[in-house]
Amino acid sequence: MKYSILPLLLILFCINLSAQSLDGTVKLKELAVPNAPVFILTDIAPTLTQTSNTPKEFVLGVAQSFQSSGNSFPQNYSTEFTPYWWVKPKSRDVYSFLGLKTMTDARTNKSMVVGENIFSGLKFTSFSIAFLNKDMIPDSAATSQKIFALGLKTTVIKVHLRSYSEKMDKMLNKWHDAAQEELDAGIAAIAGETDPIKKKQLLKEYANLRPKQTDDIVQEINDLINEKPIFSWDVAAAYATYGIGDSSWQTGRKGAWTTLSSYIPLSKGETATKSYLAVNIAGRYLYDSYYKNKLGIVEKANSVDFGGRAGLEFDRISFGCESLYRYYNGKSGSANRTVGYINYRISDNLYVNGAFGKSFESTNKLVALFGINWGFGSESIGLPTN
Amino acid sequence: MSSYKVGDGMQQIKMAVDISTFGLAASRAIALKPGTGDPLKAIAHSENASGDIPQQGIGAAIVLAEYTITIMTKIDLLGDDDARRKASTQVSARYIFDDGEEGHKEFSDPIIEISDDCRTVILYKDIELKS
Repeated sequence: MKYSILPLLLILFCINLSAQSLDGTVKLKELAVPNAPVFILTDIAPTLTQTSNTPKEFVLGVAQSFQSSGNSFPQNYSTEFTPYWWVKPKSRDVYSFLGLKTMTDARTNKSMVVGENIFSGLKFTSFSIAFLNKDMIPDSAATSQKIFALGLKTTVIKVHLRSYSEKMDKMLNKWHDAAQEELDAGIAAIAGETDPIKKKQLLKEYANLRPKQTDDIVQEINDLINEKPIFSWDVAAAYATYGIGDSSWQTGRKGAWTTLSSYIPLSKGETATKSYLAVNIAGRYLYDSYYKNKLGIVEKANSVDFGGRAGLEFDRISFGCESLYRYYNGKSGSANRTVGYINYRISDNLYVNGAFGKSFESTNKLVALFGINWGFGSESIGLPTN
Repeated sequence: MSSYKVGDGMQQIKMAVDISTFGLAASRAIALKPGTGDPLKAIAHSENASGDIPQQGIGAAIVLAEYTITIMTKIDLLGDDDARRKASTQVSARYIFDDGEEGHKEFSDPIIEISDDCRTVILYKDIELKS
């Protein structure tokens, strides 16, 4: 057999902090919608960025970077924020937060869940901003440009199976009934205490109680939140402008990302499913006004990458195949590949990956890789946090 | 302690509770005559995990006078440590009374007790009803 010996297994410890650019081998993972597209576009390491949890933090951050720069353009400053967390509307509840639609029953005057708001992800639209003094033009002059970049990321549509909202409603009611029992058991003792110091102490003890009944239900609800949608559409975009000299501002880089995902549950039940038939399609557009090509000439360039992945996902193991295509300056390039993959989750942040298949970029057109991927954070969907 | 003048009429005093949180919330309200040894009266509770108590009559003014209304809300926050820590700072409550001698009155200053691990928040409010 021509390929009697497979290429050696390659162990890679990858911490995925690298920037995305027009060159190099593209991976499907890189096409996925980034949380903070500005940082990807301008090559900023996530550790150098701030998260503005309040408008005050944001304004202070910008003001301080203006102050430290001593001129009209801030010193290096980058931040990401989600305006939804900045406002405090009077009526906010877990139903709207989880994207559940409710209506009041005219007969009983009770509120009930009637489905899912498929656009609920829009309210968590996040923005990323960067002010930089950095040499982003790969010419012979080593002068920094003033760079201002702005980006956004959002989930346009997110749809679960109808049973998701029914399961969630049932679980929320179950928690509410259990919590009422716990309140009933505790309220009299606290209300009957006339000494304010002792009352405060009782409240502290009550808050730190970990009743098993409600705790278990909260865990089930958290698992249900992590249940993947049958369809979701995420988009992100970013734009960076360069200040060249004192007065001229020109487009530097632009980027757009989109991901369409579908997760068909392979099991049914009252609890959250962790087994899916998964199909993902991702696309990315990058434009650089100052791209240094292989001949060393700085030119305008763009690339369009798109790819897809289909496979089966279980709690710890997933496998399937993925395909990637690149168009560079409108022409089909050579960085295309079609591979089979297998991933095994050892723990939340530790994965063993394997891939085998065709890569048009390698000499023998065959790739076989095994590696360990150590990432920050799990791959679960979870709640938005900033 | 906060207070609300109900008067001494036969009219029903109305109460509503509006809880604002991203977490799971349940509220319960009781009436107690402190220091008398009288049994407490359960007067209202939330209907779902919003923790809100819809506006409802809680008793005649003449009956409720001299009672203290205690409203306690348990909130269990969702998500990871970071999400819970942020959500614990985004909790608020409004306690709304109507049809007493003082008319419409709102309170929004409960005692807020957050558990050490930010998993649970307790909101607590005493309101003295005066004739």
